[in-house]
Amino acid sequence: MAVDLNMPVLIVDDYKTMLRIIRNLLKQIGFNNVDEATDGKSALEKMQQRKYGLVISDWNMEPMTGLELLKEVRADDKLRPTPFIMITAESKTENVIAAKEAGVNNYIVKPFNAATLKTKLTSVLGDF
Amino acid sequence: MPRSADPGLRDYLEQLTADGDHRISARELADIIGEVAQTLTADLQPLSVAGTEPSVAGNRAAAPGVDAAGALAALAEIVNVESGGRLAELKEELDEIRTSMQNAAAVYLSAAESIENIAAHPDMDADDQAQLYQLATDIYEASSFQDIGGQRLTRVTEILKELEFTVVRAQAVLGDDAADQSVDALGDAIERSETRKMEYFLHGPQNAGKANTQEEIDKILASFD
Repeated sequence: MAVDLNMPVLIVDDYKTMLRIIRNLLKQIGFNNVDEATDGKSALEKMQQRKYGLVISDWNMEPMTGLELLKEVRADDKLRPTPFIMITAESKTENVIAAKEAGVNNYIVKPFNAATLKTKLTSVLGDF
Repeated sequence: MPRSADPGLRDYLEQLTADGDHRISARELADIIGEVAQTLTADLQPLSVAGTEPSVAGNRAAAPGVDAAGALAALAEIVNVESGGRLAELKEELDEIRTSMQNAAAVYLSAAESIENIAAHPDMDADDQAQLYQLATDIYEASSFQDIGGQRLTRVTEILKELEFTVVRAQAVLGDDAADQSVDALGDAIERSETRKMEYFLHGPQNAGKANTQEEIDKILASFD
């Protein structure tokens, strides 16, 4: 089944430039229903108000990191099934393992390119 | 008389050695350095003119013969708790760089978005359109320099805070009351930040050759399947 490109996607990053980059790359792929949050806490609040088909989150943010957000999502019965991709400059093995153990669906290291983003989206959501 | 480390400090260092992978916070490190410095300077003979008393406030006295006033004046060039200092100037410069990078990235992104708008025109030739979209993508990818550069600047700012803490601590030891009043707050802030980084594995961008590539990360993820 093809991916529903109209599904709501939440992108989370404390750098507005990165939010704009990811939003535009998603738009190129066909996703037009994109919301933004600048930290884990506000992202969680948005997720409790709206059902998202995908979350793409940075790791290093305050007051709630991307890893904390991921753990909150996986601990919530309603939010648990939401696909979650981490996009971060945190690239040490311990970071990847911690994210995977917390339930991340995929992991993109910054700086990344559009092709990598598309590959990971396909891996998590299926073919476009 | 031979110099020897304080027994408490020695025990602590031995414990750290035994722990192996124990990570030390900036504050612990500063405490250790302070203890070692005190141990080493405690039995120093006067170095400067005999009878010179440090003319500084506070109830801590520098080692006999140490020119505390001169040392404080030199340290105040680096950090002045009340009116800034060179480290404060450095932080301002870094903030300016951060703002400039953010503004530059915003301009690039606006240009890329304009290119995409042009490419979306219904009369646009398909090949030209594809080329324009690719140009926009290239700009988006390149604009991520602001995020990575910004994170590196944040790390530099954190290192400056640790340096500031070390200098303020030295000022407090030498008898500067203003430094003495602010040293605990500075240390607490650094410790909170470091504790959080340890808890959440925060390292920031790694240098080339030290970081896992996307391929290596994919292999780690695949090892869980």
